[in-house]
Amino acid sequence: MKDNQVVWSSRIGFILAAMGMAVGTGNIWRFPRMVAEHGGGSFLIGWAVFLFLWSLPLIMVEIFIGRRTRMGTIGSFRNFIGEKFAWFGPFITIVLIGITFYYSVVVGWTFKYLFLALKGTFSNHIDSNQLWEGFTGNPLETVFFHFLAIGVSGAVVYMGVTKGIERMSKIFLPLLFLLLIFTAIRSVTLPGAIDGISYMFTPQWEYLAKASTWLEALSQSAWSVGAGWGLYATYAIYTKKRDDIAQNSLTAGLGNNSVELLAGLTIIPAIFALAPSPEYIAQATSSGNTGITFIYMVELLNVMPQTYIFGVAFFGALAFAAFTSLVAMVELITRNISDHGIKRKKAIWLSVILIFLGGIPSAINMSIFNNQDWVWGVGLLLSCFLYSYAAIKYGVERMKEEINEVSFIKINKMWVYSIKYCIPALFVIVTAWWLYQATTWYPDTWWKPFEEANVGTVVFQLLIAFLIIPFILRLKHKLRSSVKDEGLDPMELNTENSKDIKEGV
Amino acid sequence: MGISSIIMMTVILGIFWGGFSVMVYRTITTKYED
Repeated sequence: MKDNQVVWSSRIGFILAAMGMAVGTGNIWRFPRMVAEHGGGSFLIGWAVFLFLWSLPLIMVEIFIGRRTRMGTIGSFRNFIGEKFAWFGPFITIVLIGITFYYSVVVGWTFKYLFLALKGTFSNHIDSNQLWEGFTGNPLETVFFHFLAIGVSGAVVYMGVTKGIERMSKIFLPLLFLLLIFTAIRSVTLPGAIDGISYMFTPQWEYLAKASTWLEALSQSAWSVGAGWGLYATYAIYTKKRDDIAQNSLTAGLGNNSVELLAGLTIIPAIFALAPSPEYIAQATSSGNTGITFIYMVELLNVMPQTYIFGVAFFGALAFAAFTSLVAMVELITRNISDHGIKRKKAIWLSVILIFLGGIPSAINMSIFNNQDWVWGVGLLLSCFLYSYAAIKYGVERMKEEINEVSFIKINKMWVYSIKYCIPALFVIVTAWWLYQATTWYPDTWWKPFEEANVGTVVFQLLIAFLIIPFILRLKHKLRSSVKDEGLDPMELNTENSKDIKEGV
Repeated sequence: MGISSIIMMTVILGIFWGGFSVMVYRTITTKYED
């Protein structure tokens, strides 16, 4: 490692940044819904198992690759396992960029609802459905909040890795925990909340026999812990050579799931305590991520004691969770652009402009938003598989030994089996299951490329992604050649970029 | 609340909240050489 390569100022700084990246909206709005829909405690069993079988092994692989190559996702696979597999990097990056486009829109929504909570709007018995429809039906407003979200995230990345991302994580992560602890305590102490707690933790044995419970639990772990997105690998670029990989991964994974439990203890008991009827509970839990958060939770706030404080705390936690994840995505895109020899300052501007423009269609049209959420969610499963395949190619046993050299907690054969057999097998099963599900949503038009959430649109858009990959690889080659023609060593440019990051550009 | 939900709650919160607290404590209190 070069002497002036920028590194996190402390291990806890890296862990908080990694957790800030992992904890996102999926923890707060998807997890409670999944628990309620898939048998409470039965779902929790699968969700706990897949953290250890899928997410944690992948986090370790990502951190290993990021630290070994010290490169953004595009260049890291060529460097790690050779030219033949160089395309893994651009594919993973395209999937992440696709997610970032619409995720910035989501962050904008959370900012809007935090502002509304701060203004006291939820204390006035408003029609939550009308409020949501009015907001999402107003493109000027949704684009403005999308712009605000990406602008603020870009500003944090602009301040540098230690002065921007690490400092922000040290403030927002503890704050996020405090807010969720407060909302969870408020919810579980409501009269009647005990029914919700009991529902959340009681294993319903018939659900354990359903394949859908396990597959949804795996999907929740894959989509919420953030393993396989390339984000851990990007943050790992800035870790020290002997940082404990196993312990850092375990802390980030357990922390992510701890936040999910707090969110579950906030939403599920509140719904059970305040819902007027059992039908209402069923409606709320089956209303989708945005429905449960922006419609039903707002409606319940109307009848909740201390509406104002609860509203600010809940939407504050949601906004902080979403925002810290977006910052990590901007850093990943920026790092990839700067790896091509472009100065970091310019790379941040390019990332922000790209995300802003790419997110506009999702900001103004909910169908496009849902389509992108579906397509890149499936793409992400393939990204996870590519990380496990890279580890297999490198040598899983060899990687295990090298991780154990720097780790206090030693990983064992189970980790090897997870990477070699579990993750590839689970990838095939869960992807096939989601695609099969999609054929049942559109039985007559499942193959058409322009439906909102079917098989055709996934195949079509992933094919486009594969067509773009050769251009990205050629561009990288061309830029590196031009740098050499000017008599500059590409490594010197990386050094220059490192200095930029440290000094906050 | 039934006995199965109490056991489940203890196990799940123990693994995640307990495990996370131990990991954070260890990270903060360990003196690293590098």
